[in-house]
Amino acid sequence: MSRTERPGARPGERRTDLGPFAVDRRDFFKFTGGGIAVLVSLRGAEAVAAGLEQQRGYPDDFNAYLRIGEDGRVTVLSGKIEMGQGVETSQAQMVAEELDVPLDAIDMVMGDTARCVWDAGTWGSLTTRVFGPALRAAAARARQALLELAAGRLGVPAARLETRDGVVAVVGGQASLTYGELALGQRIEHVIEGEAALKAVSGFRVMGTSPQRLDAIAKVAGAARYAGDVRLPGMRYARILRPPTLDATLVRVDTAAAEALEGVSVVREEGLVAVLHEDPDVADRALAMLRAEFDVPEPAVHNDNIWDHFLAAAPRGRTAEERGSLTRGARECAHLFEHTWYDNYVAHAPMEPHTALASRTGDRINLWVSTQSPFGDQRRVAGTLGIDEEQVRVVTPYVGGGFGGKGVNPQAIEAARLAWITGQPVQVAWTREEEFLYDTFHAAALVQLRSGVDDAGRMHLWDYHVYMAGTRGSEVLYDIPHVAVVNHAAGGAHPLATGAWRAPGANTNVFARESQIDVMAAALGVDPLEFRLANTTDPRQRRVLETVAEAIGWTPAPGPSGRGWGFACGIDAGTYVAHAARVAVDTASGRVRVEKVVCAQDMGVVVNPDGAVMQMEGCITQGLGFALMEKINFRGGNVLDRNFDSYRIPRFSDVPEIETILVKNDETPSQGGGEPAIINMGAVVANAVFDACGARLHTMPMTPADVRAALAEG
Amino acid sequence: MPGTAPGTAPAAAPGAAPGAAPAAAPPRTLVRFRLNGRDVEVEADAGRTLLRVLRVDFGLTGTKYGCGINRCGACTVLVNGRPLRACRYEADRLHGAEVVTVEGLAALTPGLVPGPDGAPSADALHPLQEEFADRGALQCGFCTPGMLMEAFGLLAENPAPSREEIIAGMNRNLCRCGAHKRIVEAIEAAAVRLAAAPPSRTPSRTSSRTSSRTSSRRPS
Repeated sequence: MSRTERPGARPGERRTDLGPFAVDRRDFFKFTGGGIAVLVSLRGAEAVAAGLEQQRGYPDDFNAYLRIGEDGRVTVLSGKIEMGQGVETSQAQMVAEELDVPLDAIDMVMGDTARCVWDAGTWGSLTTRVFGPALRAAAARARQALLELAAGRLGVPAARLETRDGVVAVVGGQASLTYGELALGQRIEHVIEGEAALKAVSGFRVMGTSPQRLDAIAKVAGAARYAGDVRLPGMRYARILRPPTLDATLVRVDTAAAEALEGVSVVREEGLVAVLHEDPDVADRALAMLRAEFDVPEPAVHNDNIWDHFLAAAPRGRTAEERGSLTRGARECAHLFEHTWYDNYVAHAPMEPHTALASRTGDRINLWVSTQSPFGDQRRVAGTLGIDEEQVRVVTPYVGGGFGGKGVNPQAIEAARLAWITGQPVQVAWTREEEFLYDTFHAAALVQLRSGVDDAGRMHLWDYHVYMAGTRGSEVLYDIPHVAVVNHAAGGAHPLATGAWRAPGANTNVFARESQIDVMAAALGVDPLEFRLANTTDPRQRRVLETVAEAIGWTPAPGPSGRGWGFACGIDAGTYVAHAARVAVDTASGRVRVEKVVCAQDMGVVVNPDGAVMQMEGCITQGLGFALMEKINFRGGNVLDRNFDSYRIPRFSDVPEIETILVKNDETPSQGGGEPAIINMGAVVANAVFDACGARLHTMPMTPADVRAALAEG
Repeated sequence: MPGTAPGTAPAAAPGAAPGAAPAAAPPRTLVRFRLNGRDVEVEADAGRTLLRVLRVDFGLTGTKYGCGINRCGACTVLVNGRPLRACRYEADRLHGAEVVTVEGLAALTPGLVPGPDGAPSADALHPLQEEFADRGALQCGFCTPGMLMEAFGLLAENPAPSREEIIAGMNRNLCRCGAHKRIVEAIEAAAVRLAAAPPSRTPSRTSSRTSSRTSSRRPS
C-alpha cells in the first residue's frame, strides 16, 4: 500500500512521497494495492469542455479518478493542484457527497502526472464547474458499483440497499457491509462511460457545508510542503546567470573564478549558464563571481509611450461581437460619450516564487514543481530534454499562490536540464528579483469606447475597441441594440512577457465598461444603479445588483453625491457578481481609502460556502492592488520593479470592511469561484471615487497623483 | 534598484583580468543557540542568514523565503521572544539567543503540559494556530508561518490589542491571497482565548535533548 494512503497523515507531509514511477493506468493496482478503482473515460463534450483535447489527444487508457481501499479509505486522484483556492477541500466534499463517505475518509492526491487524471491546468475557475461534474460522476458510479457488489454478497437486490457513511445496508434491515469489506480482496476496475445520476441539492450532506480546510492544519503547523521544501540526498542548489534586462543578449561570460570555488560545478549550455553547489550560500557566491557581458538594446517602449505603441501595433482588430448598425445607433442617441480607459502591467507576486526540484534516475526524471500545470510541465520538460513524456513525472506539492502566473514554469525546465546534465538532484528556486523579471505580467491594455443614450436614458450604441487585453469580460452585458466589440491584438507587441492574471483581461474590460456606464449615468443626472437596472433585463444581473444595493441601504441619487459609493457588475466564469464600494478621498493628497466593499455573487450551486467567501474576500483584497497601487515600471525589457521595496501590494491597512453575499441559485450548476469577484474592483473603486469627489479616473492604478490631476481637471 | 537586479552579474569592467582569483572563503564560526527549546550549534560561514540556517542546516522548512530584503515577513521567527526577519539576520548574531520557529510555536501554548519527553504532543497547536485554521485565515499558506510568528510577538507585547493595533502590528507582513480580514479576526479570537488561559510556562531546559548539528558544507 502506498504511504500516501496513511490514515491520519497530516496533509502536505504526504506530498513528497513518490510511489513507483510509471503507472500504466490499465494496471492500476500494481502500485495501489487491492480495492476498487473507478476509471472514467471523459470523451466527447465533457472532454472538450475540460480542455482535454486542447493540447493533445485524449489518452487511450481510462483515467482513474478514485480508489476505494481495503481499509475503506477513498483516494481521489485529481490532476488539479491546490494553490490556496481551496479545491483540495471542495473536491473531497464532492466525492464524499456522491460516494456517501465521511469527509475524513478521503485522501487527496493532486497534480501528480504519474497517478492523476490528465488535466490541462488549474486556471479559469474550471475546477468546480467543469472538472467537478466529472469527479462527482466518478464517485456516483463508484457508489453504484459498491451497491452492486453488496447486492451479490448480501443476496438482496441493489434497489433495496442504501449507502451512508461508508456502509451499504439493507433498507430497514440488519445486514450491512462497509466499503472496506466490499473492497477487501477485490481488484476491480470499473470502467465508466456516459452519464451518471448526481445527487440533487436537497439531498446534500457534505456539499453545501463549510468544513475546516483539509490543508489548514498542515499549513498552520509549518508542516505543509512546497516545492522548495523538498530535500533529496546530494541535492544541489542552482543559481542561474540572468541578463540585466529581458531583451539583453549574452556576449561573453567568464566562469573561471566560480569554477575555482571548491565543490562548485558550472553548467554552460545554450541559453543556460548556471552554478551549482550543495550549499546555497556558496552557489550565491559563485554566481557573483561570474563575469558576464551583455548587449542591452536601447529601450524603445516604456511606460510613457506604451499606449501609442499599442495603437500603432494593432490598428485593425477582429470583431468579437456585433449587432445592429453603429451608424443607426449613433443617430438614435441624444448623447454620445467617447472615452479611453487604460490599464498597466501588474505582477502576480505570489508569496512563493517559482521553484522546482529535479532528480534524474537513469533515463527518467522526477520533478517537484510549484505549478498550475503539472501535465503541461511534463510535456515541456520532455520536449526540452528530447525524451518521452512517460519518462517525466511531475509532482505538485502545495503551491504558494499562482493567480495565473504558474501556468508556465521556466524554472522547471531549468532544473530538469541541470539535473539531466549533472545527474544530481537540482533545486532551482527563483529569488524575488528573478520572480519579477520573469513574471508573465497582467497585460497593459487600453479600451476605446464610444457609447450613447437617448433622452429617456436607454443605451443605443456600444462601439468598443480593446487593445491587447483580449475579450474576456468584454461582453456588452446591457441591452443595447447597436453594438460592435472589436479585439485589437498583436503578437509580440508587449515589451514584457504577459500571461494569464486572475480573470485575464476581464479586469481591464470591466473597468472600461462599468466606468463608462457610470459616466453616462452621471451625465444624464441619473442614479448609477437605476441607470444599470434600466438598461438590463437579465434577471441574474439585476438580482446581484439589487442585492448589494439592499445590503448597503442604497437611496438613489445621481453622482457625484458626495457619499463616495460606487457600483459595478459583471459576469465571469459563469458567475454573476456585483460590487458596491464606499471610499473616502483626501482631496489634498489625492489618497483614496476604500472603507467598505459589499459583494453579491450568484455562482449557482455552492459546494463550500465559506470557501467561496474566502475567494471573494481574496479577490476584493487583491483587486485593490491593481485598482489603486500596482503598476510595473519598465524601460524596454528592463523591469524596474524587482521586489516589494518599490512594488507595493495591498496590506492590512489597505483592507476595507468586507461584506459578502452568496445569492442562492440552486437551479444553476456550480459556476466559477476563484476569479469573478476580482473583475469589478477597478470600476467599483473608480465609480466610488467619482461619487465622493467628482474626479473621473481613466487609468489603473488610480494613484494619489492621478486623483489630484483628475480633480484639477474638474 | 532599477537596472541591476541582484543576482545579475555586472558587465565586466574593461581590462578586468579574466579568471581573477576567487575571493577568500568567508570565515566560519561556531554558533550556539537554542532552537525551539533545544540547545543546538551550527558552524556557519560569516554572512549566512538565519533563514538558511533554519531551512538548510536544520531542515526547518516552515519558515519561508519571500523577498530576501525584510519586506514581506514570510521568514518571520522569534528571536529572544521578538519577531524578526530571518532572511537578513546573520547567524553569527545568534550566540546564546533563543529562536522559535513555526514548528516550535505549539510548545509556547500557555498551560501546556509537556509529554514525558518534555515536548508537546505532535498534534498540539497554539491558540493562534487553531484560530487561523478554524477561521480559514489562510489560503496558499506560504505567508502563514510568518503571520503566526508576527502575531505571537504582537500578543506578547500587547495581550489585548484593538483591531487598529492588530492592523498596525501586522502591516509589514504581506499576504497575496487576501486572507487579511480573517487573519485579523483570528488574532482577535486568539487574544481572547489567551487572556483566559493559565499563565505561560517556560519550557524547561532539557540538556538531555541537546542536539548538535554542524554545517559541513565544505570539507576542511
